[in-house]
Amino acid sequence: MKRVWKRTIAVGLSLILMISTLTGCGSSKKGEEEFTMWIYNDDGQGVYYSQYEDNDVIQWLNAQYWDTENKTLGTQENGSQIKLHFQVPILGSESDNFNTMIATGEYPEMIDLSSAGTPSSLYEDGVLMEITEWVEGYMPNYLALLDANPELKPLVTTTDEEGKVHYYAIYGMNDSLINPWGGYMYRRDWVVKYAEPTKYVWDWESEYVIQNGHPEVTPLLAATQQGNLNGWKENEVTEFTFSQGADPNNDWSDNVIFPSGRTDPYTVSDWEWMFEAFAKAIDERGWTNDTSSYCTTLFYLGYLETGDLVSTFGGGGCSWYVDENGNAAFGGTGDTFKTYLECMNSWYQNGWIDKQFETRASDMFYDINSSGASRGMVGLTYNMMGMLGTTIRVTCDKEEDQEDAMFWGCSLPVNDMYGELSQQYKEPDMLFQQTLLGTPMGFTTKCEDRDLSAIFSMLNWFYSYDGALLISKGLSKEQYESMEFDPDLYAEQGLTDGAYTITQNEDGTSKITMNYDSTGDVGGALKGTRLTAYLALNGNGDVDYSIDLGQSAVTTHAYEQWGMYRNRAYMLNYNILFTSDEASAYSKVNTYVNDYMGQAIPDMIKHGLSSWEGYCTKLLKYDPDSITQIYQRVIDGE
Amino acid sequence: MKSNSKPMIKKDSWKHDLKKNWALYLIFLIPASYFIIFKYIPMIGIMMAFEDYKVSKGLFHSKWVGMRNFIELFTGDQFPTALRNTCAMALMNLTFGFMAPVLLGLVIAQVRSKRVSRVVQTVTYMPYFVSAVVCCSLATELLKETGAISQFLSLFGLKEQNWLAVNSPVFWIINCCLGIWQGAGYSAIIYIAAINNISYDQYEAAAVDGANRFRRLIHITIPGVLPIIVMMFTMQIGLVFVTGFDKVLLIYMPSTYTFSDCLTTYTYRMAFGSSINFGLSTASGLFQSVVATILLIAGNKLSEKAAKVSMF
Repeated sequence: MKRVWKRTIAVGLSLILMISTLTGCGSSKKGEEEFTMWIYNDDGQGVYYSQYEDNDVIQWLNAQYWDTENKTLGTQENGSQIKLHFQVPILGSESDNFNTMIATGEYPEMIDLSSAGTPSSLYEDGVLMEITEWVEGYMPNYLALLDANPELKPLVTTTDEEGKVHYYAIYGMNDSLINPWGGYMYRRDWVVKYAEPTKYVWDWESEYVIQNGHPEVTPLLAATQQGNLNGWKENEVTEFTFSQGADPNNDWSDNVIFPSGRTDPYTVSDWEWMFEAFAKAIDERGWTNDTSSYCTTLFYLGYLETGDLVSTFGGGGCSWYVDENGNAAFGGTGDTFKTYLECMNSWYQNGWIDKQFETRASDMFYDINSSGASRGMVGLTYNMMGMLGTTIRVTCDKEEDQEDAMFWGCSLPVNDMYGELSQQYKEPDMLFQQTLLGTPMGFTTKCEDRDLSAIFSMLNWFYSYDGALLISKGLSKEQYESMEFDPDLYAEQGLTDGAYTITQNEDGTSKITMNYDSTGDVGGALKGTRLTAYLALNGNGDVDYSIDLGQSAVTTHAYEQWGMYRNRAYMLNYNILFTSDEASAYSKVNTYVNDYMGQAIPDMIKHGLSSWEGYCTKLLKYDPDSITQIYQRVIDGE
Repeated sequence: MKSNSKPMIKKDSWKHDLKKNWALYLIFLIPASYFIIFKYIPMIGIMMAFEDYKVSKGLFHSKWVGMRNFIELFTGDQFPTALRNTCAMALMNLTFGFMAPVLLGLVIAQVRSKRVSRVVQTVTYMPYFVSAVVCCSLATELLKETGAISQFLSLFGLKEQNWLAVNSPVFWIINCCLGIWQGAGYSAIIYIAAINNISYDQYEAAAVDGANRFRRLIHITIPGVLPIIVMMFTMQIGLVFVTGFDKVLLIYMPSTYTFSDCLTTYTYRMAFGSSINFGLSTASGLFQSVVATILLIAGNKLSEKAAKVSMF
């Protein structure tokens, strides 16, 4: 009897195992309204919910009906439902997972393409399907946005030899500049304590500055030496003072005036003036010989491929960029880069730059010497916004810094003293973060025979104000109250009134006030931003609404500073239009160019530009011009 | 291990042996399957070295490009430098790096106090269990301008500087020392075990004949462990081109590529720079494997001739 029981249990367990295994094999038969999307990442890696379907925004979307006639949110009577499911790779293995998925052909209906090459090459490889018919038929909002931003349209479409436009992916878009996640920041408390007010500052009300945007002679030393103070005025501030208030991140105030006459650093000479103050602070703390302490940080290569500080010295960058005439150019051997290096060499010789910058090869550009910066030993650094304000006070070495340390964001400086006049007083125009284009999302060939009208109607709604509000900000009170959520992160976070409140500004425009600090980690989990294809409402620049993100004044100030300049010359966006052969050629040349520059540039920053000619000759041997020509073809849309 | 004097043993037929020792064959099947499934079948991936491999097209549908990946690899500007550095670092690892655990094993075996011997052994093999990242972070701290080693070296008149940032063959020495520090203690275990297997009678007889400890070391201990040393050396030759990559990657920097860049780091940058080039990285891997195999066979032949001991 006992043996019979054992056998029965064994057979039963075997059957269960077999059935569960077979259930997992192959693709399950789904209803036509079900779609699975591969997303690069979810939010919180399981901290807030176990699967992305449990995100409150996704739960809400899965409960809605989509009106395919009007391409928008519908009702039960006139619409059909879409059930979204998600596949999320394990953290750290995103690219591996993506490659395995493509190689095995086991990909779902929709894919976030942030790990992919160009959408057109995935289409050529038979992974993505062409969606032109669906985009043109069901996404008027998306098309209207592309029409309003004609410079973006060539980047998100492919035009064939007959001039016909093809869509292989839908791109996320920003209605205005995205709020940066980091940037340059400096020790405001050190400026207050150690900088001495200059005798003269730029007179922004003088006729010369109003007409030209700067005094006749800059910097101040040159102006006084030449006795030409046209555009300068006497500085009314003779001593800097500050007050922290009850909450320094919101209440800090001081009377700092930079030589440019502004309350924030604006020019290269403003930065140098700060560095002199930082050097005093470092010296006073006995850190002069400590390699963790210095005035300003520099990426180990000596430059950022994405432009940024290089762009200060005449525009463009040190790799490929769009020049002022709209043509492709290579900056590695250009005047802008040479002047940048002259400035860096000068700073290095003055002892302002991290003496060991080239040795910090394992540090990310936004987190160099994190222990030194956290201990309060660095004057100006590129870091993430979590470092702003009073954050480092708890980790500062010195008691004085534990009480007063304050990191403020600052914009890239305008060059007012290095190189030719043609390279001065120009706004930096090649920056890492500011772009209106988001990540692409594609439909795979698994959807080829399916009716996609409902899902494209839903996507179209994501590019309307209401849809964009839901995806990029979260649920409104009405949306939250319209159904039961399980699990309910909004309830857990105390957001039963929704993620935001809309009021009116004095000028009649609407003001979106977030009901939580949406810049924090939980922010992503309360929105639907992993859906990739949507219009992000950022509330910056020329839009008819504003957003209060619920962050501190110091963060708001940093956003203003980091978003000060337009990213005009940035060219890496164009890479998505390369053909497969062009992408290979670019990859090869770019690797060689970067590899060589990485070896040569730190030496020039440290020891001067005597090897500049030889460097240019060798760099040009890698044929960067061949890539410039490819970029030009892409720009010309040939 | 092949010995020159083979005893005459009557061989059973294969089938008879299988019948007699089926359990052993069954046990052998496990590692054999492992090697076939995970080592031999994946070798088909070598094809990538001759293809413009595209993930979406797969191994059998990617474009065949013949030797193009190899030409790209060998004609790279940095390739000669990387090859030179690899050879230099390999040579140092084969000499100093290889001898260090042998010497350590011999020294530990000579220590009379068991307690001291155990403590030394434990202390020296502990670094083996420290990850390369931690090990290299320690090296970075110790070798920086204000680091302990830099400060110590300055006592002998050497410049106080970040030694890892010095673009000179010093990098080879640092890399070799790092390897010794991390691996010598662990590698010495096998020599200590071999020394312990030498019959104590031989030492006793030598002592009676008046041999002092040094003579006993030279005439008994070293000959006793020589076959193991030769075998380890032969194996090391085969691996010398491919090991230590992780450490170099963690401590090198662009400004020292002239002396720090090796074949694996060079390939890593070229193949995984702007976009992933599977073909180039496979070509480099294949090249290094072929070189390693040639070295292994040559080393084995050499030891067969010189020391009358060989692995196969």
